[in-house]
Amino acid sequence: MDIFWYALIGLLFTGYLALESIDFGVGLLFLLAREERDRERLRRGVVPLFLANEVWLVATVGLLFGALPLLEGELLHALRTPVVLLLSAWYLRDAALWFRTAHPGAGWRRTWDVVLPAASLVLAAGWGAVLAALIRGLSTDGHGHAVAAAGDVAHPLALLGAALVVAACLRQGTLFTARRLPHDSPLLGRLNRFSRPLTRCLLGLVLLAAVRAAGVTDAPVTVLLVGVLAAAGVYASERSAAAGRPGTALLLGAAPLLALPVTVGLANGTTVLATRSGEGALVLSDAVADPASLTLLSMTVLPALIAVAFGQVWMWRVFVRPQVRQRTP
Amino acid sequence: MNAVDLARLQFATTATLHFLFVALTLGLVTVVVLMQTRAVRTRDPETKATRMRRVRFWGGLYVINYALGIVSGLAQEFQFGLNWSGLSHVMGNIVGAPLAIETIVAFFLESTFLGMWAFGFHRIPARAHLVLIWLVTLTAYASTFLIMVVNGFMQKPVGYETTGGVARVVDWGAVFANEATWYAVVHIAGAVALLAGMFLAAVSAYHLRRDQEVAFFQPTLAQGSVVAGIGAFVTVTAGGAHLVALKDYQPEKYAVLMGESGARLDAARAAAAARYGPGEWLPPAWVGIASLAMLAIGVFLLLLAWIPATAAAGGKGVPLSRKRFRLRLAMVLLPFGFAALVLGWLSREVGRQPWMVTGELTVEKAVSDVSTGGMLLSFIAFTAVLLTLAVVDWTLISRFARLGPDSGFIGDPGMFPGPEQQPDPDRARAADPTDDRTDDRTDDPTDDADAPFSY
Ligand code: HDD
Ligand code: HEM
Ligand code: HEM
Repeated sequence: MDIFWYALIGLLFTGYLALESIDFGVGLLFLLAREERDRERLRRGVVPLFLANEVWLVATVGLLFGALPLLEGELLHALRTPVVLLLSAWYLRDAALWFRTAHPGAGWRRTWDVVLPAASLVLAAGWGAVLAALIRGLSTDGHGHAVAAAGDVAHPLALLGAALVVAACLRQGTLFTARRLPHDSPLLGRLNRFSRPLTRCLLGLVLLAAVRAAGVTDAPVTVLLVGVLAAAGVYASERSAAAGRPGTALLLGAAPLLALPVTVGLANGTTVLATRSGEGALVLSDAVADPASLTLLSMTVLPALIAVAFGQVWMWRVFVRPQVRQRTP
Repeated sequence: MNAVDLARLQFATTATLHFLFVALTLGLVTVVVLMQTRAVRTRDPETKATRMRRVRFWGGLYVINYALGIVSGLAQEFQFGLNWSGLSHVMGNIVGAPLAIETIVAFFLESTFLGMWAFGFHRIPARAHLVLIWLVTLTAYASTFLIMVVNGFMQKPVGYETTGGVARVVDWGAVFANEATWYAVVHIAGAVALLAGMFLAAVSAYHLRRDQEVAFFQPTLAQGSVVAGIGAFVTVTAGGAHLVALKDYQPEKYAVLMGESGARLDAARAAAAARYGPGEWLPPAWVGIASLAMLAIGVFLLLLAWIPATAAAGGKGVPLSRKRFRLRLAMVLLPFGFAALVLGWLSREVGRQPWMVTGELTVEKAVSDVSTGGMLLSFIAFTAVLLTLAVVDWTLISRFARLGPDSGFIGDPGMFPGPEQQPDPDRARAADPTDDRTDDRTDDPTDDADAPFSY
């Protein structure tokens, strides 16, 4: 039963990463959109969705506190500096999306146009680095606690992870945006030119990261396998995009983003917080909450999650599915 | 300042910011849901359109306000793990579950539905759209309740046992029925109604003083002041009952909040020492002043908050804008409501010192093992970012409140909160010389300008 809660938390986090990758990517694409019209198109594409996307992380942390309270304390303690940075970027990203056009001044927009891609970059790269560091296992501090030291987040594997997530987000953002742009949009031309090299680059990063990660874990075969599957996902996504199935392409394009948290789980098993030395590590059975608390959670949280799933599917159908154009008189 | 002080200051700053915004959010959504219910049930198309216009205006202010509720709420949630891991180590089994339920049952649903509501004015059939805002409201109240379950437990722990230094719940019923939760919930419900009512009245009065949109704002001036009056009554009554109950379950806090001194304070100190062992168990004396100020404001608002309604009601012969005093009053009172809110939380939370969980866990023991430098870093980062955003957000709210209903930022075919949707761009542009935007709303085939549903 313990493993169920751990997996559910992992699922929520994976959902966050997969959904928000689109928002991060769109935020990054602001760098390529030189015309006001394109920028507004980019923003309008994600603005009805990003709230519902980011709340997956809120839910992840909430459930973490409820089901594995010790892990929440230890994990956030270990990742303190990266988390403070990620949170600050998160606030700014949200503000940029909400506020960009709320005031007509030109300086106002220009400010948010810098904030948005910068914050999106920090978020994408930061999550990549943190996940890669968790795959490799953290350091141990003087008091015997797990900690992400500077060397952990600057390790080549972490940097690879950061680059991989940035590339994957950019690609998702491109797929999401391209189908919403009119044919004469200058941004569309730029995206089309940029998408092939981006996909190749992403494929390279996935394979490289898989090899690197296999070298630092105890489960090299599994890790390599996940990497190959992720690369296959990207390849299939590219084929779908070429075949004019943008929805499928978007879905498959999330493969490398799923691969990272999945690898954290597979590489470390039930050691929910792994350190390289073993000291300060936390195993699932020690972290999990009391049965009375878990019973309460299963009665409330599980039905709510089902309701959320329906709600979010409805939302995507309303806001994302190509609109059937029928004007009411 | 050491790490504990910084952690406390950080929580106090973000919590205060959070609450200043969410209290208005909670109050406004209640107003909006009632307005929209009324609008949807209206038959006459013209009245219906006017009522929907009100929903858009107040709903728009609500949505801008919501943005800050979210970002500051994130700072709150993460702080439990970042700074107060002692709470999860000792009390994780108890405070974790309500917080988890809150995030999933309340926020997850709330965020999904809010986005759909705000952007779905023309996309979603009227009745389904109404259901959405009802769901947003209910989940917002659910989240308030659940968070107050945790806070109530910290004030008065019940329904648990401790073995091996770790607490476990033995009776969830007792945890959820905690009087320390319920008194506060009723008091807060009154306070948010008071706040939203005063906000409605103040914004309406601003326009009425200038003879703008009189038909649009006259009813909300009256409704706002009446709601504020009722809210003040509930707040003061519940607060009074709460105070009596405190005497029983947090006697040390009660003594300090009541500003007791001399022998009576010494008696409270001695009683606490008898219960918890030698040491100083009283909160700092200055919270007594904060508490007194809240009480004074409460009585003051109870006496005055409903008065602007009389301007809207009687004396049909005189133009409303001539009733300067009462209109001005509506605007002057609003800041006092916000002040009382902060003072109330200071009373409750500082009054709990030195305990994190009364009688069980001290703040000193609950703080994470973090260096002073690390704590300072997160304090500065969070405070700087959140304060900046709070100022930006409040500036925007007052800007849109002043622009009036035609600044329309939600519900239009375009998106929120773009000025593109202003029905008369020339007017808005003339009013704002810095505006250099290009008008880009007609030629974009992918713009979601199609509106399959309309009110
Ligand atoms: C009296 C009400 C109240 C109180 C005491 C608190 N909150 Fe809150 N909070 C709300 C009422 C609220 C709300 C009105 O329900 C918000 C505003 C916007 C929203 O989504 O819900 C919210 C938002 C909000 C969010 C953002 C959710 C999202 O992304 O949608 C988080 C993470 C928290 N809160 C967390 C907390 C924590 C950890 C608190 C305890 C210290 C806390 N809140 C106190
Ligand atoms: C949103 C409304 C709230 C406000 C304005 C508020 C205000 C404050 C203030 C002013 C402090 C600092 C007290 C001090 O240390 O001197 C504080 C501390 C704290 N509060 Fe709250 N509080 C709120 C809600 C809550 C809730 C609902 C919880 C629990 C679920 C909570 C948990 C804490 C914790 C953990 C601390 C830090 C430890 C401490 O100093 O006692 N607060 N809060
Ligand atoms: C005469 C009027 C009032 C009385 C007797 C009163 C009483 C109280 C008491 C006893 C507490 C602390 C409870 C505790 O520590 O457990 C409290 C807290 C609080 N008060 Fe008041 N209050 C009054 C007016 C107001 C007003 C006008 C507002 C806001 C508009 C307000 C907002 C709050 C808030 C937000 C809290 C913290 C949460 C809570 O404990 O409910 N109060 N009040």
